Amino acid sequence: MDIYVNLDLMLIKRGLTLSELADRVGITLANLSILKTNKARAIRFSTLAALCRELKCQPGDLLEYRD
Amino acid sequence: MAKEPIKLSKSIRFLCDLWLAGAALGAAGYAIWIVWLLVAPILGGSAQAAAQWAAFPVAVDLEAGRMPGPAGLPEKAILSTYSRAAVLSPPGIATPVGNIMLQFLTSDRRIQALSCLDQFIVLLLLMGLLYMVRQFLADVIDGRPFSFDNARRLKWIGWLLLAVGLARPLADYLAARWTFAMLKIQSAMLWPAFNISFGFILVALFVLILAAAFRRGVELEKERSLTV
Repeated sequence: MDIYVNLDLMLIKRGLTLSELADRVGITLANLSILKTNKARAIRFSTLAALCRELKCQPGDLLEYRD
Repeated sequence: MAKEPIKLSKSIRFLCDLWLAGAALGAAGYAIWIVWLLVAPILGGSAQAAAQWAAFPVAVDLEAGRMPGPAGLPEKAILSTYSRAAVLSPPGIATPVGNIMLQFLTSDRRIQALSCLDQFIVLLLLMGLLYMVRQFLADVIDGRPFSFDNARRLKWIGWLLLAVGLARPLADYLAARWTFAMLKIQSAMLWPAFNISFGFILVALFVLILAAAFRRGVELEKERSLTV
């Protein structure tokens, strides 16, 4: 996949665990793991917005395009 | 993501299992019977078996609405439509052209084996078909209907339905053709009939189309399941 999700760095910066983030964002831990391990095929804007809200960041801080 | 089981009557699964078991037993029985008929003379048994009824589809040559005489036809031959029967002796019984079966008593082991051939082939194909249906049903009950395995099974069901629709009339035709050649009938003209069931083939084609659509559904489901 060409788009990578940098959740680990943001989780450390905000001092959150994956399960805490999953609860706050309102998605299952399994889905958040799919996102974290870059297995997701697509992400909803609502999910992206919730992640940015909880991690206090911009979409560009989470998503990275690699060739 | 945990899937919730889909409620489906247990009797449907039971009926499917029962039908599969019946088809398997029937196919095994026919296989043993056909092999025994053909192998018994080699093993020292009698070349002639106990007389049994054999039936084959036939397209009958009618001249001015009358049947050819029975001379040369097997003894006690009965020419029947699916709705009524006509005994050939005395000669000249008028019979409508249509789905006609020629039934006669025979002690010839080869003819007895050939008369079972179509049912044996159909039961084999039915076993494969029911096995696929059973596996599909198991996944549906477990709440996992949309999978590549089920898409593949649906495709196989379509092809097996097509095979049943074509194999049975073909087996009937070939068995009748070989039998009539063995009978060496001189006075009556009998041609093996090829009664293809277009309904079966239409259903098979529909299932194949459905299988292609189902596969697309599986791909969409996979896409959806990986959308966060």
